[in-house]
Amino acid sequence: MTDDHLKQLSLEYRHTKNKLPMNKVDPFKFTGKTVAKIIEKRIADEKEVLEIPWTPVSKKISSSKVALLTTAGISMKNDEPFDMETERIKGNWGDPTWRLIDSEATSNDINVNHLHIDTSYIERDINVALPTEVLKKLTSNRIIGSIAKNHYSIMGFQGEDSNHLANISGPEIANHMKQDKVDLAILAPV
Amino acid sequence: MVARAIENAGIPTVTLNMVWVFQKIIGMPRIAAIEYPFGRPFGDVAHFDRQKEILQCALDIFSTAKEAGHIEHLPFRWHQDPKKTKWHPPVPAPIIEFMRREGLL
Repeated sequence: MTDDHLKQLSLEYRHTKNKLPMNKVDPFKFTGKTVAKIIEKRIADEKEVLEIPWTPVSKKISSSKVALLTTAGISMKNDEPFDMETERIKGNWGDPTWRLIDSEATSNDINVNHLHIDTSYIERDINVALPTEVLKKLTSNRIIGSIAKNHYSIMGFQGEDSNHLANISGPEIANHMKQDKVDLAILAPV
Repeated sequence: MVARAIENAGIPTVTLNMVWVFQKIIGMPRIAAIEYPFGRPFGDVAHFDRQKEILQCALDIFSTAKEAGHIEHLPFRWHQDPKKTKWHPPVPAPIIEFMRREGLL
C-alpha cells in the first residue's frame, strides 16, 4: 500500500467527513485518539489483500442454516476461558485458540475474557456481540431457516502474530461449520 | 482472517464491524459497516429491536452483495454522544503499555 493510499484511508473519514455523504460510516467516531493511532499503525503495517475469497450464496436466506462468530473472547462457563494472563505479561500477544458457544447460550452461561473492551455489556446481554436470542426470533419469524448447533468465539486481539488464528484456528472453525452444514456465517469483530 | 478461511471453505460470510477501513484492507468478502462503539456491534444492552434490525441488515447483504469486497454502510446511529459512550476496559489493554514502552505511541 502506498503512503498516499494509507493517508487517504485513515484520514478521509476523520477530517473530511462533513463533505462525505451522510450514509458513510465514520470508523473513528468512538475510538479516541490513542486507539485511532493504533488502528492507523495496524493499517500501515498490513499489506492490502487484493485477492478476496468469494462463495456465492446458493440457498434462500429463509432456508439457510446460520452460524455466528464473535471476537469477544466469549467461552462457555464449563469450558476453558481465553488466556488473558499471558497477554497481560507479553502485551503484544493474544490467545489464538477458539471456542464453541452453545446456540442456546444466554449471558448467564458465558464468561467474557477480553482486555480491550468493557465486557460488562456482553455479560449483561450477550446479544450486543453475539445475538443468540435475536437469531432465535428470526428463526421463529422464518426469516432464516435454522440455527447452527454452535456459534463460535475467538479472541480478536492477536498482537504481533496472527498466523495461528489465520492458518490453524480459522480452517478448524470452517471445517467445524462444514460438518454442521452451516450455510451462512455472520462474523462480528468487537 | 477467519472470515476468509470460512469463505474459502465454501460458506458465504458477512463481517459486521466499525473499523471497516481495516476490514477492507485485510480482504473481507462482505462487510457491514456500523458506526457503533467497540464491544456492542449489534446495539446496546436490551435494545432487542435494534439488535434484530442490525442482524437482519447483515443477513440482507447475502442477497445484495454481488462481488468480493462488497461494503454496505448501515444507516444506524448510536444513541449517545461519543464523549459519553463508554466502551474502554477498566484497565488499559496491555498493548497500550507495550507500545509506550517500545516508543510506538
